[in-house]
Amino acid sequence: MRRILGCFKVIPDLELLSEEDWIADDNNLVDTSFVKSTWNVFDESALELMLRLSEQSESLNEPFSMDAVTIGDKISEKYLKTLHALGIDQAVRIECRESIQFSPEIVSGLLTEYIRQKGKQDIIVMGTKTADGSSGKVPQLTAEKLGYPCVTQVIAIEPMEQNNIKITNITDTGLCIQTICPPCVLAVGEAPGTCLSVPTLKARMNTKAKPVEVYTAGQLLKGNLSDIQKETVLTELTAVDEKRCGKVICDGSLEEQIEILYQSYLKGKV
Amino acid sequence: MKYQIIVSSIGMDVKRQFEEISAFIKASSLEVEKENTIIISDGKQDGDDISRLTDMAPTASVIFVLVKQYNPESVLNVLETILKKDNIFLFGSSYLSRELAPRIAYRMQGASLIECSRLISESGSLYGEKLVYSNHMQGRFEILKKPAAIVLAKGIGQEKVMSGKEHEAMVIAADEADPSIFLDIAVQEEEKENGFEHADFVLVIGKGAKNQDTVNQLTKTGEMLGAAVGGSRPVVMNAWMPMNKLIGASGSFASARVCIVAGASGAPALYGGIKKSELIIGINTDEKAPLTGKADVTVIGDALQVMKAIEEKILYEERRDG
Repeated sequence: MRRILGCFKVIPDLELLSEEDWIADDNNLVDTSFVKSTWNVFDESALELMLRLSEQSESLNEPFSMDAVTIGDKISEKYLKTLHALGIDQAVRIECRESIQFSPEIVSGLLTEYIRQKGKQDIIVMGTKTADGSSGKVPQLTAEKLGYPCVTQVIAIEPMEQNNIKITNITDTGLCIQTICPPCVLAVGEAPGTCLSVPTLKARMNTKAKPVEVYTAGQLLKGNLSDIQKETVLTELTAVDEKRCGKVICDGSLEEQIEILYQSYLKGKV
Repeated sequence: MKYQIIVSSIGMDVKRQFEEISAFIKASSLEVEKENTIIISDGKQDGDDISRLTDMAPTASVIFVLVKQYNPESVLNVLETILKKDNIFLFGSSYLSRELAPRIAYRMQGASLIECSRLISESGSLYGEKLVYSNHMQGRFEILKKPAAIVLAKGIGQEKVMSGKEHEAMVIAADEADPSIFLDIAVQEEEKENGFEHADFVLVIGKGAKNQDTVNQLTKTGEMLGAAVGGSRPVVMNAWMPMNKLIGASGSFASARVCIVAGASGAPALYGGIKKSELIIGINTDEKAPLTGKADVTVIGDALQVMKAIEEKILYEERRDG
């Protein structure tokens, strides 16, 4: 059976932070501990494309076994449980106590070691980048470390006969549609209509007892995280100030408000 | 340490990339010589075009990497032979660059930084700045290894290119994609949405529109007023507008005289795409939306009702003025 691995990250919902929350601490991090967590949007699309690929491949009698892996704390297990309910076979969490959101080399290193040690995967899907770290290079580095080809900005994946897959990705020219013989790493970009499916309550109940496998970073690396050579290191973090005068027109009727807008701002400009 | 400039002519405007790289170099406090320019091309240019592109280049030495059909694997193999270990590689802003730069840096045991807005040299160390935390924060990263593969951030300004003298062009043909892996490749060329960049008046529709019908009505209203109409990420992800209408970090950038943002909260990813506009007008039901502080003026109200009222007012004034 062919194997597909969905890699994802649970991130803080950054849109819930208010302007005054954007302050860097002494470790060049922003305190996001008080906001709720969410799927990284590009990873969410990647997982949905994985689920659809698996469903479609059943009609070709060449089904995929689906695994999901995330590097994160215990909160991530709630998300892995959701994926269990959506049909994932194996849900894996890699425990890493150090802050690695600005260390794509370590993230790709841990994913690579997991794949090497816990079984070859035919297809590895993940989002193009995460909202917080925004390095935009974890899929490419993972592909290089595994020696796999990599396709970026993927928006659709379809199963083909003889274990091949058809991939649609956005390029500078337009859409590229290619048939690929795996293994490969696919980085999912802005893929419209790919919000993650919601499992039924019944599916959640049925998979409730299914365990999440947990590995520590140390177990996978057989050494220290510091052994992985970093390419870059974050040395300074500052809030972006994009304030304008921010006048608000709210008094009077709509007609009166538009009169003010027109006379003070729009007249002669449109 | 020298620069090597890497741009693509595959679906990209080469002159524009050179101008952005010139602006980037000017903004960066570095005094480094330029070594050569590498143009990745799909061979669609005839001889005259190769000569024209060569003359445009900011360096005397230009290398064309010709591909029949772009495939990152075969281009990487060529780049490995022509890029030099101690250099800084400046990649123009494109999907192709974001795909290639981290991989070539890894292969050459160097470092990469994607979406970099500026390079700084301080006390013998090299730093690059880029936006992180969904564009809420700017990070300064020390680049620890050589070579440094830098991909320019989108929307960097443009600067006239001082082209190199006595150009010398060399052409290297890349192998075709490995047929045992890439069994079939076809490209559906899409018309690019270039209207936003040069539009005087832009209307951006946000998820506050709530449905396809409202998006259609807002689009009609915007077009009636002569605006180029685009959407925020949630709008295109819901397929209420096509992908090429996306405004923001992953889409088009606007630098309009007037930009109206109707029903969008003003997330940094969107704001990045409109911040160069002269006048930003927000329309939002929530006075506390982040856009309010980043706009010049905000009307509190329903996006469609306010836009209709603006349309009526402008048309009335036009009729009155004859």
